[in-house]
This record gives sequence, C-alpha cells and structure tokens, in this order.
Amino acid sequence: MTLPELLLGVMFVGLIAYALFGGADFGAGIRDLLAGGTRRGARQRDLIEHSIAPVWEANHVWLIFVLVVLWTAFSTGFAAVVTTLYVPLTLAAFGMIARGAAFAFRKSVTTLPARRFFGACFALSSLATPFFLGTVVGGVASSRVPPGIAAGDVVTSWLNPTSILGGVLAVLVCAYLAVFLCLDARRQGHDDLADQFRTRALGTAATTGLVGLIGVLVLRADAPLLFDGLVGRALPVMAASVLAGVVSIVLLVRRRYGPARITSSTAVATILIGWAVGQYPYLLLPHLTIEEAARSRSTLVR
Amino acid sequence: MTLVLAAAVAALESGWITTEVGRQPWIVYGLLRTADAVSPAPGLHLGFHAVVAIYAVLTVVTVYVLRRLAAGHDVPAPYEGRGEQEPDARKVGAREVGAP
Repeated sequence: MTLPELLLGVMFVGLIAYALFGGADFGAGIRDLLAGGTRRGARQRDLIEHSIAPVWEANHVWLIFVLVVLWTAFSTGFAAVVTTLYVPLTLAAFGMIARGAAFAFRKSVTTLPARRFFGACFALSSLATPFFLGTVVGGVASSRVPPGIAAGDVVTSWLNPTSILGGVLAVLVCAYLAVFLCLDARRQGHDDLADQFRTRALGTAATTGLVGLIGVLVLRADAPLLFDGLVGRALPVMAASVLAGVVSIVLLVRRRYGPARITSSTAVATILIGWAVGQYPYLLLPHLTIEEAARSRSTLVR
Repeated sequence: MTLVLAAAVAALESGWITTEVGRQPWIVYGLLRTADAVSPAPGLHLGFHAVVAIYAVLTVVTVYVLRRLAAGHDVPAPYEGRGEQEPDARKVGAREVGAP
C-alpha cells in the first residue's frame, strides 16, 4: 500500500464514522419529522433528543477531518470537487447551520407554536444535508467532476440520475440508522416506542433495498465506469453489504436490537467501502488517479 | 456596561476589517492576488446573498429568543408539562430546559 492510499484509507475511516454517527443523527431528525402529531409524537421526540444529545453536533468533526485530509493530501482533487460541486456543498452547509440553530432554539423557546416551527426546521434540514452530500458523491462517482478549478458543469454535476440516486440513498440510509433508537428505547423501558422505531426501520430497510436495486440500473446507464468497478473488483464488498442488510432485517424482526446495530453499521460502511473499491485507483473518475492527486510528498510525510 | 459590550464588538470587527481590507489586492500577501484566487464558477453571488439572508434571519431569531427568555415567558410547552402523557414524557428524557 502506498502512502497516498494509506491516507485515503484514513480519510475513508473518517467518512464512514461520519456516515454512521452523523447519519444516525440525521436519521433521528428524519424520525423527528415523521414522529407524528405534536402530542402523539412527543414521547418519540423526547427519546430522540435524549439519544442524540451526546453526539449530535460533534459528528461534524468527522466531516471536518475528511475535508482537512482531502485538501492537505489531495489538493488537486479537493479543488476540483469543491469548485465544481459548490452548490450542493453550500446547500448541505446551510442545512447544518439551520439544523444546529433550530435544535438549539427549540430547546430555549418552550411555547408550542415556536417549538413546532423550530422542530420542523430541524427535521427538514436533517433531510437536506444528507441529500446534498449524497448528490456530491453521485457527481464524483458518475465522472462529472473533471480535474481543474470549476472545470465541471456547476448544475448538471449534481442534478443528474446518479446524484439523485446518491441523495435519496443517503437520506434513506440515515433514516434507517435510526435503528439505533430501538435499543435506546428498550433500555429505558419503553418497549412500545422500541416497537414503533422497529416498524419504521423495517419499512426504511425495505425501501432502501428497493432503491438499491433500481440504483443498479441507474448506475449501469449513467455511471458505467463505477458500475464496472462495482460488479468487478468491488463485488465481494457489495455482496457483504447486501448480506449485512438482510441479516439486519432478520435481527430486527426477531427484536435482537443490539446485534442489529452492528450489522446495520456494517451494511452502511460496506456501501462506502464498495464505492471506494469500485473507483480505485481513481480519485476523480476517469481523469485523476489517487497517485496523481497526491503530488506533494513533503505534505504527506510531515 | 452595555456600552462596554458594544465597544468590544466594534473593536473585534474593526480589527477584522483592518486585516482583510489592509492586505488587498493580495489574498496571500505578495504571493497570490485575490482576483486570481477567486473561483471562476458561475453564480457565486447567489451563495453570498443566501448567506447574508440566513445570518439576518438568525440574528433576528436570536434577539427574539433572548428577549423572550429575559421576559420570563419560558414556560413548558403544553405537551411537556401538562396532559396525560406528562409523567412518561418527563421520564424518557429526564432533561432540563436549556441543557445542551
């Protein structure tokens, strides 16, 4: 393994951590949106707030870590991605700002209409942030980000079939990761709440599987290079992801929430690893390899 | 006291403006000009307007929330403090208003 590959691996560990912690967090926001009427959803909302309190804003540390590794080690790749895809990246950042602000304000203002308003902002931005980050992945994966400063199309680089698929999958994965809430609910002795979260998680898992199947067709038509990698070198990883997803569903059906956490995390992590393996050795398909993007060795070593 | 707060903010902002305006037209002094560093991507001004709008809204909401808190309107929302679900709802979170 070369030094640039090692660094890219470290960056991917950060990306997986962000997908798992941040994803679970955004998933909680989506659950919050779907929890139901003000009174009916109140107990779910309370549990969500309690569960995400230790991690909810610290998650973005992982995203910052990923960005810092990218611009330090792979500056040319970073420059191409952030200038061509600045629109979805900005919108994702707006989602994070709105989310943090709304969550904080909702805690401070306790009258019902105000809480409803801020709660809606919180939940909607939980949808927007993963969606736009997913479109960024779709843009890179479908060869729409050429190297160079703003060399790609700033609109079609993220408004295209693969990006929409990436965005939808990201939202679904986040919604699914709220599976973590099942165990939290049961630990606190709310078996009925755990059952509600379980039903939702099963529904989301089924939808994610369906979208994944459609996604195979989308990728074959729209991102042939990535598709070749996914059915070629990355096939074992993708198979592991599907297997972990199926095992998660079985565990959820049997109410084994603890092991379901582990298999769910595995399913999500292997999707990201599959993407990386499918793209290898390219950082930006089909122009820029990992080695080319990591030109300055002195920055990598120090 | 209020005057001191305002003066602190003014000093902070003036310092920023001095450094940012003072080094123009360089973004990295003597090495890279601002005009050469800016992204050529179209539509960047839209992002600027959006940021201004978002911060304006956040400022207004912050002032509103702080004034509300100062005026002592901080009473529990109906679904938290009253109603049949109250004991359970409190137990789930066991949190205080204003906790992070």
